[in-house]
This record gives sequence, C-alpha cells and structure tokens, in this order.
Amino acid sequence: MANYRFIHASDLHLDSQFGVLSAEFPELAEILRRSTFDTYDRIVELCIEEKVDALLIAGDVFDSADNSLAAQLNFVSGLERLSQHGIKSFVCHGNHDPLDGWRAGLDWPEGAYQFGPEPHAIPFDETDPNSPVVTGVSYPTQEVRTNLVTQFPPPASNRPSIGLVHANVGADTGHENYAPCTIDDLTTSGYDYWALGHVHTRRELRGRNDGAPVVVYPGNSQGRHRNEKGPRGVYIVEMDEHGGVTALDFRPTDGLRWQELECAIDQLNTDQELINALDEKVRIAIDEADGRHLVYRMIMTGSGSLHNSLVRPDYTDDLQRQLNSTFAGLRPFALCEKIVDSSSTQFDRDQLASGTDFVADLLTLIDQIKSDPEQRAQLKNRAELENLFGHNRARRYLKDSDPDDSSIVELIDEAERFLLFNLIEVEDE
Amino acid sequence: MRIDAININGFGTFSDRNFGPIESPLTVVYGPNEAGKSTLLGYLRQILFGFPTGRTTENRYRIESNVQHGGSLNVTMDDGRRLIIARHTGGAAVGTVALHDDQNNPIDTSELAGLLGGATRSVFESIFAFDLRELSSFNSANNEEIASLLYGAGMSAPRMIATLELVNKAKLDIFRPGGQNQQVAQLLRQLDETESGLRTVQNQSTQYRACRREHAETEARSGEIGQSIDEVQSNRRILSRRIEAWDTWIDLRNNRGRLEKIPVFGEFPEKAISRLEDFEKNLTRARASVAQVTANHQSATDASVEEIPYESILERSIDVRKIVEQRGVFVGSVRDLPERQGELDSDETRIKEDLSTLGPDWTQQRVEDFDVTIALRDQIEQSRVALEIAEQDIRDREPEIGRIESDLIDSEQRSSEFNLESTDDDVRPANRLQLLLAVAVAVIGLILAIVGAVMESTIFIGIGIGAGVPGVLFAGYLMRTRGSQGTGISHAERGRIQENKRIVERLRGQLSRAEQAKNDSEKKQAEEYQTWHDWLKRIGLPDSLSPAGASDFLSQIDTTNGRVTVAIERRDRVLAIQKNIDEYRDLVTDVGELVEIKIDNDSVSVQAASNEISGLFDSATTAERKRGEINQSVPELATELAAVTRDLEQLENELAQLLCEGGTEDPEEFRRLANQHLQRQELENSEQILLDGLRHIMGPDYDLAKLDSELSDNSKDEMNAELVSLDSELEEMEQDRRDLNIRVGELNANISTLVDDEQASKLRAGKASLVAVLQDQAVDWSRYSLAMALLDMTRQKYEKERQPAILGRASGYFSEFTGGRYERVFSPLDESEFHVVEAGPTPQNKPTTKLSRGTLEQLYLAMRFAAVEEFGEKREHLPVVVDEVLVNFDLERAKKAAGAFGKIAESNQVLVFTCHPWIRDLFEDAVPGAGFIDLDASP
Repeated sequence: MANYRFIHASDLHLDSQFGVLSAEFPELAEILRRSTFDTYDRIVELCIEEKVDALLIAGDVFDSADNSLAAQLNFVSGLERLSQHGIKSFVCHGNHDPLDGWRAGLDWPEGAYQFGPEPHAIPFDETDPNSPVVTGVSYPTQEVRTNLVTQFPPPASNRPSIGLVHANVGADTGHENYAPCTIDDLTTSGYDYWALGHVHTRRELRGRNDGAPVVVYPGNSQGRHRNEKGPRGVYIVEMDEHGGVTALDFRPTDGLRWQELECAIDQLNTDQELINALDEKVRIAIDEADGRHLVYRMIMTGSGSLHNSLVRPDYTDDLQRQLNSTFAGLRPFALCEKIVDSSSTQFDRDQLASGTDFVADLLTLIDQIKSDPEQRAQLKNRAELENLFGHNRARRYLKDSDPDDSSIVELIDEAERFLLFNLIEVEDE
Repeated sequence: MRIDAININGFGTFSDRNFGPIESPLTVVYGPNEAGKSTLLGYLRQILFGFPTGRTTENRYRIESNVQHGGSLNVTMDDGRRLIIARHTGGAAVGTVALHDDQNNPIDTSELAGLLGGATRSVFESIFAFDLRELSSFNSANNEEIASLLYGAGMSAPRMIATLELVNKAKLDIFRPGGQNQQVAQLLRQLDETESGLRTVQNQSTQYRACRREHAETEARSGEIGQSIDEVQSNRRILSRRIEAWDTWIDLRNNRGRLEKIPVFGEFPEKAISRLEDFEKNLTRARASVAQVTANHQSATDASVEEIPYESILERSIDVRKIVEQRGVFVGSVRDLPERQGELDSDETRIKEDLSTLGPDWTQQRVEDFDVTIALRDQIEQSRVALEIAEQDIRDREPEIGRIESDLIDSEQRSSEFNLESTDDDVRPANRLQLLLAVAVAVIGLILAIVGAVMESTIFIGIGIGAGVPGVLFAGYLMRTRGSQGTGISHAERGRIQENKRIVERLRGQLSRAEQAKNDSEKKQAEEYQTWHDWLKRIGLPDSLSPAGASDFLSQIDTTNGRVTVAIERRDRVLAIQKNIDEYRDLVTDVGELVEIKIDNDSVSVQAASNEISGLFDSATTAERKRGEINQSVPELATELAAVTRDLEQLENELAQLLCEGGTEDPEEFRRLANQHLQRQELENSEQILLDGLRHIMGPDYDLAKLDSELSDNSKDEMNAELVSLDSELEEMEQDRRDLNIRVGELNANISTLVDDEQASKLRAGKASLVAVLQDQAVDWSRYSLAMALLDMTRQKYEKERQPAILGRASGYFSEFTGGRYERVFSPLDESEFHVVEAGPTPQNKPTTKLSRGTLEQLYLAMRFAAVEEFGEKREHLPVVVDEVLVNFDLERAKKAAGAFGKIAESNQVLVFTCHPWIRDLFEDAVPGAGFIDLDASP
C-alpha cells in the first residue's frame, strides 16, 4: 500500500521582525533579523531530508504590510529548491499575504502551486491516481470574513483528500476572526486532513485517534515575540492511499526560541546566590533549547529579602546586563530581554490588610477593585490610561498591548508590590 | 502616674527643697518671675528622662559643683503602685537613676520606660510638659514619633507622600500628555524617523515587478532591433560585395569581347611553342655532342702509341721502393756512426782502468767468468760476525782482569805498608800503578799490531808495535824491581799481614784464571782469522782482505763486469750501422747506372742520386698509367659516338611529328598557330579567374547570372549611394540597441540592488525594537498610573474616613476653646500642615498658617489634650505640666481652656505654672478643688 508524506507548515511570516532590545548586541540583531528566513530554509531542508512528496503551507507566508521583497524572493527560491528535488509545494494565502499582496510578480517554479480565490483541487501527482488531492483557497484580499470552508467542494471519494486553508476555527482563538468556521464545518466536510493556518499556537483540533478528519494548526514555524514561547515548527504527515493518517509528527523548526524562565528568591540571601541561581536556570534552559538561540524573560518569584533589591529597576537592569554578558555572547546565544520582578516581601499581607492604617486601607481598596470589574474600570479611568493608549501617535503601536481586564489585575498586583515596598519600612533594615 | 511629692537638690535656685504632698488633681504653681517655675518644669523632665547630654542646648540647672545634683519624685502609678524615682549626677551623662517601691525595695531601672507608657523624652516634652514657646512650635507632622501617635503605628504620612512623589515622577518620566522630553515622546520621534525611512523603501516589491517587466520588454525590443540590424547588415553585405565585384565584372565583360575575336581550335598540341623550342634546343645540343665525341675519339687513338723515357726503370720497381724507403735510415746511420764509435772507445778505456785496479792478473775474461753470488756475500757476512764475536770476547775479559789487578795492587800495598812500618815487605802503590799502566800499554799495542796485520794497515801495526814494545820492556823492569825488594813483618801486625797475604794469594789466583781465559779467546780469534784467509784463497780473492775489504772487492768486480757487457753491445751496434751504410750505397749505385746517374763515394752524393732515381721512377710510372687509360678509352668513345648519333636522329623524327600534329611542316607556321591557340587559352583562363573572383566576392552560392543583370541595371555610384544610406540606417538602429542595452544594464543593477537591499528589513527590525520598548514603557507607565490612582483613592477615603481619633478629640477641644467658631481639624495626607474647618453653612478649610497666634495656640493645646487622652487610654496617664500657656488667650477662651484643663485633670494630674495672678484666679474659679503652691513661700 502506497504511503504519501507531506509537511504541513503555516504562518511563516517571512522577514517579519522581532521586538527584541538587542541594540547592545548588533550581531544578535542580525541573527534575529534573519531568523524567519533561516527557519524557512530549515523547513525546505527538512522536506529534502525526509524526501516528502509535498510541502503544504496554510497561509501567511509573509506580512504583505511589510511589502518585503526579500521575503518573496527567499520564498520562491525555497520553492525552486523543492522543485529541483521533485517535491511539490501547495500554498494558500491568508490575511497577511493575500493574493493582492504579492507585488513582486515572481514566477513560481514547476511543481509549486498557488491557490487562487476560489477553492481548487490539485493532485500530488497527476500520474498517480491514488495520490492525495489538495484542495485549497487563498484570500484575495486581507479582509475575508466569510466562511471559506463551506465553499470547499466535496472531495473525490476514491482518493485521499486534504483541505488547505487559512481560517479561524471557533471564535476564541485569540486571533482576528478571518474566514471563520466551526469544527463541525470541518468534520462534516468529508476531507481526510485539514491543513490549517492562522492560529500561531500549535493545536491538534482533531488528532490521529479522533477519527477522520485530522484537523491541525501547526502554529507558526518560528516564535516572534515573548508571547510565542516554546517550540515552534511543522507537522510531518503520513497518509495512506485511502486518506488514513498513519503518522502525525511535530518537528520543531525554530532556530531561536522564546522562553519564560522563573527564579524563586525564597532560599536566596545574597546577590551572589541570586546570580548563581539565575546562571543555573539559564544554563538548564540553554541545554533544553537543543542548540537553538534563546530569548528569555526571567520572572523573579517567591518572597525573601532580595525582593527589596529586585524592586529597584536599576538592580534588575544590572542583573540583566550581568546575564547577557555571560550568555548573549555564546553561540547559540541566550539573550535576556527583560527581568520581571514578581517577587514579594516577607510581609503578611492579610495581617497588613486587617490593620486600620493607610496600608490596610490601600490593601482593602485593592482587594475590592480586584473583585469588582466595575471598580476596575473606574480605576482604569482614574489612572487615565487612555492618555497613552489613545494617544494619536502612540496608539497604533500600542493597540495590541492596551491592557485588558486580566492584564489590569496583573498590573494592580505589580503596583501593590511596588507601593508596599515604598510605604512600609522594612523591619530588618 | 501622678506626682505625690518632689525633692529637688542642687538644681537651679533649689537646694534640698521639697514640694508636697501634692494631692489635688490640678495644682497651680504660682510664683513671680525667676521664682523657679521653668527650673521646676526642667527638673521634672530631667528626673524622668535623664539629664541633658552634651549635644543639647537645654539648661542643665546645675549650680554648685559640690552639691549632689538631682533629686527624687514620689509617684503613684495608674495601677496604684507607689514608687520613688530618683536621679543624680554620676555614671552616664543622663545621670544615675534609681527606682524603689514604697518599702524602699529597689526595682530594676529598666522598668522606667514601661512606667512612662513608652513615651520618649520628645513625646513627653511635646505633649505633656511644655511651655508657651513649645506650645506654639508644636508641629506633629514633622515629628515621626508624634505623627505615629497621631496616625497610628506602621504608617507615616511622609512615606506616603514620598511614595506618591516617587510614583508620579516615574510616571511622568515615561509619559506626559503633550510632553516632548519624556521617554515615550522620544521613542515616538525615533519611530517617526524609522517610519519615514520605511516609506522610502516601501515600494520595493512594486519596483521589482516594474523593473522585471521593463527588463523583459526592453530585452524583447532589443532583440527585435537586433533582428532588423541583422537583415540590413545582410543587405549591406551583398551591396558592398556587388560594389567590390564591379571592377572584376567589367574585366569579365571585356575579356569575353576579346575572346569572341579568336577562332575556336579543335585539337592542338599542348604547350606547343615550348615543346617546339625544346626540340630546337635539344637538336642543337645533340649535334654539338656528335662533333665533340668524334674529336675525342681521334685524339685518344693518337695518344695510345706514344713512348715513355727510361721505361726500363719500371722493371726495378722493388729496388726503387727500397731506395725510397731506406733513405731515412741511411741518413740517420751516417749521422749516428761517429757518436756510437766514440762511446765504444770510452767504455773500453774505463774497463782497462778497472782491471788494473783489481790486480795484474785480472783480465776482462776473468771478470766475466767471476760469479758474484748472494751466497758469496752471505759467507763474507758470516765471517765478519765470527771475527767480531771473537774480538768482543777478548775485550770483555779485560775489565775483569783490570778489576782483579786493582784489588791485588790494593792488597799488596797494604802488605807493603805493614812492611814499611816494620819490615815493609809490600809493593808500593806507585810501583804497582806503573806496572799496571805498562801492561795495559803493552796489551793495547799488541792488539793494534794484530788488527793492523789483519787489515793490512801499516798505521795500526806501527802504532801497535810502538806502544806494545816499550810497554813490555817497562813491565819487565818493574817486575824485576819488585822481585828484588826484601820483606819483613812486625810481630804485632803478623795476624793482619797473614790475612792480607791470603787475600793477595786469592786475587793472584783469580788474575791467573782471567788471563788464561783471555788467552783462550785470543787463540779462538786467531783460528777464525785462519779460516777467513783459507776461504779467500779458495775462491780466488786476495787473502789479505778483511771481510769489509772483501765486500768492496766483490762490488768492484760487479761494476767492471757491467761495463764489459755494455761495451760488447756497443761494438755490435757500430758494426751493424756500418754494414747498412755500405749496402744502401751499393744499391743506389747499381740502380743509378741504369738511368745514367754517376755517384761519388760520399753519402751526400748517394742521397742526391737516391732522390733523382725516385723522381725518374715516378715520371715513368705516371706516363705508363696514362697510356694504359687512353688505350682503354678508345673503344668506349667509339660506342658513345654511335649513341649520340642515334639520339640526334630520334629528335629530328619527333620534331617532325610535333609539326605534323600542329597541322604543318613549317616550324614558323607552327609557332604562329600555337601563339593564337595560347592567346585563346589565356583569355579562357582569365574568364575563369574572373568568375572565381566574383564567386569569391559574392559567395559560392550567389547566382552570377543574377549578378550580371543586377550590375547591368546599376552604376557603381548608384550602389555607393545606396551603401551610405544603409550605413546611416544601421547606425541609427545600433544606437537604439545600445540605448536599450544600457537600460537593461540599469534595470539589472536596480534589480540586484532591490534583491540585495536589506535596509527595509533592518528598518523594520529597528521599528520592532522601538515598538517593543514603547510597549514595555507603556506597561511600566500603566503600572505607575494605576499605583497613583490607587494611592489617590486610598488617600481620599482615608482622609475622609480614617482621620485618627486623636484629631476628632482635638476637634472637640478646639471647637470648645473657640466657642464653636471652628468645627474640625484634620491632617491632609500630602501636606505637613493641619487644616481647620471653619463652621458655617459652607464649611471652609483653612491651613493653620492662616490662623492668628492665639487661635493657633488654642489649636495646638486642643491637639495636646487629645493626645494626652489618647496616650492615657492606651498607656499611662502621665502628668501634664504647662508653663504659662494661656497668656495669649483672650479671657473668654482662657476660661474655656482652664475648664478643659479641669476636665483633663480628672484623668491626668495637671500642674499649671504661672506668674499671673489672674491666671491663678482663673483656675481657682474654673476648677473647683484646685491645689495651690506658692514658690515664694518658705519650704
């Protein structure tokens, strides 16, 4: 029985740039800058090494808003390599790279298929009547708010079928609700495998053991900011001639990994102990990154005497410099993009809150606000956050970071730690 | 705590002064100025909290150094305990405190702070014991301890305010609406710059697409123009070839005209004229050959019969060759002969001399026969060694004999000394020495004589005889003299003489034996000599020869023998040379006669004849050889003559044949026809060459008939004009193509630049970093903003709901003092000043700085009353001691204040110091049961 193998990738976002504060390390900036290209090269290399039949890319190859020529040239260059190795490529486009965004007008090589605005079926191999048929559709423009999945034709009954589309399955993905559809739309479609793109976090909406179809978001192949932590990559899928998915393996392809590391200060008493503990955490993370570059945020947790140092911004800045002087020069490097202090003093908060003084009143107020959305909204108004997040020049850069309700709670906790540290005289000082 | 009694000593004006018992809750202590009120106030503070240390400016009230400074207080605590608190100078700067109970049992002094309710000196002085000046300087907000009392433990307003300021500053450092220098504003400026940079590179994809499209179009147009250029160039090439062909074509046309005028020949011999000329040339040559060979044949026939001079010498060719060959030997022999003869003569003279040296009976033959062998020389050597050994043997005996003789002389001298002393019967040493010398000379003389005889040396013999004979004679004389001397021995010496005689006898025996041995050796030597002489005789040498002489003699024989051998060889050679000379001369003479040459007997003449003979012989030989050759050539020449005659006939036949082929018998007619034929051939060739030239110019496939018609229709000038026009058309097209290619190059460069350009990517990376910073800043700013809002909300609530009870109490007292003019006092959290609220329909806030002095003092007194109550409720009711605090109050408010003191006195003991009788009266009126102490009254 013939088996067919393909790689399912999505959301390459070629040549999109990371917001890492790497001005001190210009060489790192260059590595960071090229990392989406390097990841794409690795995917192409993986296709060749694994001798797959095809590469399927479910949209967002690049960010058309960037209008990056390099992204388009690199992408087509990779397709040419695949073509030279006899590997087909099937590409549909999403909201970031709609058909009207391909402005460089490059010629695609033989065996590389770009889906148009209407769903269209193309077999892996014209000469093999059993080979899978890929049906895909591309966004003609960025704004596609209609359900594309329901427009897919029913698959040919006697061949393996794959649907390739950039879509938002369910409304709660945390992504823009482009080409929305439901999981029911997919399960009732008759297709064997849905190769989806759009959601950056890997999800097997229906796994191999859930019955047909298998529905997978591979996530983006390279994390691009601290909210895209952990391994990022593609799926290698193996399918028999009846469309049964016989293997579904995730393969990391990220060359640079974002991580959030935690270090508790409870048992640490001196600066040196703290530095040693941080070094240890980073070394473990480097080992776990398996040869990849690492960009991490260090979260200081727990409570202890070192909290009083950590609340000082210059102290955490020094720590960050110290870590980067140790690890950012290595190859692969480990770059600390920020140290966030979530540690607390050794105060008994309940005891403080039960008093009758100003601090008690403050803590009582904070507790009330945290438990009451209405009061949170009032606090937000009173803090006049809109002054910055609604600022006519700043708002377009901050639209994604305008704190939502849960972020407000976190910020209140941070504000509380900061205020307590400043309002309360520490006993053992 | 209340003070029941005061003991004061060595303190200001007080010396061992006691006050008390103080029993009233409120006691007015009255005294004029300088009566000691301030001293008493200071005393109470210092007893409870210690004497002032070096750093304060507080009055220590010490007056006498010899009086113990200090005192004691009898107090009753809130719990009823009665204690005595004493403090005196000594120990620490604050003095030494002592605590006792009413049974005078000491109590640990560390309990004092507890007894005072934990109040510090500053709290006590600010709230409980103060004068007018201290009343108005009361400023709780600047004193953390007081503030702590006012606002509750764990919270201080300055910390909140500092926090508020800190948060506000941090927030404003990041962002302020409308601000230009904050971090966010700076980031936004950088972002603007980056965005601006991005806009300039934003259309790269579109540009790339446009470039690629234009590139393709331009290349296509360039290709089309290239095709047109190729066509025009092809036309131009053909046209320029036609122009090039023009002259050739004209020549061809002319050639054809000339060809038409010459008749067409059928067959005509090839290369007719050259062949005709060749025939004519060959005929001439053949005829000359026939004539030459005929002449040669004739002259050879004549030469074959000529005579040769001295032809007979040819028969003596062997002798002539010998004469020629041996001529050199003959000349050498003639030259060598005298020299060789001289050498022979010299040799024979030397031989004669040698023979006379050897002896008269030595002839040349005897020398030749005498064989000098190695055995002979060995025999001589053996004899020499034997003789030498015999001689050495004799020489070896002599020292022994000499020694024995010397010993004998010594012994005999001793014997003669004995005899001289008595009978002197011994030989004198001088005589003995003389004898020994005479014997020695005789022996040496004898030996020399013998050696001289052996070596036949007369000198040795002479010396030997000359020495030996007198030696013998002298020795004989000495011996006789000795024998004639008498002997005699003294009796005392007889033993010694006898002993000496025995020694002399023994020595004489030894001497006799030694001399005998020497004689044996000499005999042996004589025998050896005899053997030697016998051997000499036997081999025929003179017997007088010593072995060395015999060796030399043999050498002489050898030398002479050698010379004899050489002389014999030389003689044979001289004879041989002479024989050669004679034979050669005879041969030359013999042959010379044959050719009539006369020869003298001298060698010069022989040599000249020899030369002449060889010359004549050579001439005859050459002439004979030539005649032989000529004889041989005559038949060959006859054959050759026949051949050349045949060749000539052949040529004449062939010429006739050629002429016949040309259709004539006349060579001149043949020549004319041949020329005409040749001309036609040349014209035909020219036509072919011209056609080839045209084909070369136009290309092999070009239709020449077409060319003919083309060129017939055009002039060369017309074609040149057309060429110029095509060139200009080409130039234009080339220019167009160059322009297009330049554009293609530009587009390639643009495309490369676009492909390689990383600026957009870098700008976006920069932008992403800036946005990340901005977002981080926004989070920080949000946190600070929220912190600010939280602080503000808490403060509002706190200020409204959480003013300390103490301020509520103070508000009550203040309202009371001011007759309701002010209703409230409160402490805003972000200010160090208290505010008062003026009563009215719309209550007005007023900072204390806006109050009159009296009202302000009333406010501070109210706050102290509140603090006293608050402190007492939580801790200990400490006594309140005030010094002239009501003097700035108007009478009405003073009365109200005095009443309030009365109320305070219900819980805390009050001591009011004043120098004003009206105040004393005021308290007497306002506080029933008030106590009274007059400081002026005697103790």
